[in-house]
Amino acid sequence: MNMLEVKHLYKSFGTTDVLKDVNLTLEKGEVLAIIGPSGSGKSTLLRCINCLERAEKGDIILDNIPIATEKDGHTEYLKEDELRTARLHLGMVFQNFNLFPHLSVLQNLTLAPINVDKKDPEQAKSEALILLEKVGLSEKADSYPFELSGGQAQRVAIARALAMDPDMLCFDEPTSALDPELTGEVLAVIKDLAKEHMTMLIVTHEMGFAKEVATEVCFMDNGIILERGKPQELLVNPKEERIRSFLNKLLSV
Amino acid sequence: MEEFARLFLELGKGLGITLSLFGLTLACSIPLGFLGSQVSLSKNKPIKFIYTIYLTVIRGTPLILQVVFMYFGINIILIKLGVDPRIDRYPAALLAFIINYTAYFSEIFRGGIQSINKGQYEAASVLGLTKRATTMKIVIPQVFKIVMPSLGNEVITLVKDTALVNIIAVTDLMYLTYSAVSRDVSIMPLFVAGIFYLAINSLVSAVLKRIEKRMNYYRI
Ligand SMILES: Nc1ncnc2c1ncn2[C@@H]1O[C@H](COP(=O)(O)OP(=O)(O)OP(=O)(O)O)[C@@H](O)[C@H]1O
Ligand SMILES: [Mg+2]
Repeated sequence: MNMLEVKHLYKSFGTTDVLKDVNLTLEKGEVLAIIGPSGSGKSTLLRCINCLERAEKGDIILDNIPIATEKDGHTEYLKEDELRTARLHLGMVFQNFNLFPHLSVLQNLTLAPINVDKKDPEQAKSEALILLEKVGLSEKADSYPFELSGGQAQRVAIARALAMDPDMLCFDEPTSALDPELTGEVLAVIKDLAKEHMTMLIVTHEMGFAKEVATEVCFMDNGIILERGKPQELLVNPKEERIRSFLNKLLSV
Repeated sequence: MEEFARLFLELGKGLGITLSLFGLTLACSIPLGFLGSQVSLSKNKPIKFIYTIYLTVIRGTPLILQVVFMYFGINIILIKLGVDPRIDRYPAALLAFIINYTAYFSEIFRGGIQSINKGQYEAASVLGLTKRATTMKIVIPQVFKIVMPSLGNEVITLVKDTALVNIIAVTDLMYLTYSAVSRDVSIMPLFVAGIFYLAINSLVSAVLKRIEKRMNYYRI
């Protein structure tokens, strides 16, 4: 069953075409890593899927709900309220965490369940504590975001996304803002999620990590998905010369 | 000493008006200023344009002029129009103050809102929060912390600005002080008034400091 279907997605900023014709399907339980050079449109793709940006052409179908549909050459999205509900199937983890600084770690986790899902606060709280334990941060429940290290903040952000019980998670370079010694703890949490068969779409520059957790890898270049394949094939033996030079450059850094 | 006590009681009668003017202006201007900031940040061009004219006029002309206009100006217009109800001194003063302070608060809030990271809105949006919930739960608490120092300055200024209303003979602390000075030909009333204003502002500062302290538990 397809969790996500993206068809012929097109998006431009002014005169630059950022997404030219992106096609993507993601099955339930699949972990898809997206790699590619800077400026190739990876973040924009994720942001379009999350409706933080509006695509101009193409379709997006999430969990069998057509959230964006192309009609007469341009894409129309669901109405605001329907879109908000449909999008709850999807969680998003940002590069810069975007935790709410004025709320404690626990409140960061319970805000949406209480306000959006109308969950009982006590119920939300106990579920949040379970999630914090899962990401290894039980003892930080009453801390505030400024008191956390980057790695801890990102793990809280992941727990916050999980608190809405999404069917799929998107990550935009979840470890890029972290000191190298802190990336491990975040990647470990994502690996655990992969083991539980959480459907995930992960933009990353960590090739080792992609190789390890991704069921498939996409290489994005210049607004299109140039190649998609099993990590062992695409990351070790890519067909495209473009990918080979990209990987070589990464290795030589 | 006796004179001091007498003046204390006499001028104290103006305190009620001074304090109510201060309190009511704040109570109205802060919420209105927040609404105004939403207008400033909205995408509705015509309304925004009109609002900008309001901001420019109010912030570009003296408050004392606005107070005089609100009382004499409006009443002259009402008389010319042959309309009977007149605007009284105190309501005129209060209205002028609210209109004036709303403009300043509105700009302070606008700055505060604009300084909030775009990522905060995005995080709220992917979690499914409505625009309203985002404003109430995410934006307003953070904006208040950010704007608190500037807001505090305005509040202190407001205490002192209330003295302007004596120009339209509202019997506030300053009006009574002025009367006493010219009646007694003494500088004593000025000291007494000074003490009153200082006392009010010390209290206001203490309250502001407490609020700032209470918002110190986090950093943005
Ligand atoms: N809001 C925007 N306005 C204008 N141009 C934008 C905007 N967002 C992205 N772009 C442009 O779109 C292109 C693709 O950007 P995007 O952030 O999707 O790339 P990326 O693949 O995520 O790169 P990186 O690896 O550096 O994160 C870039 O050329 C960028 O300058
Ligand atoms: Mg990016």
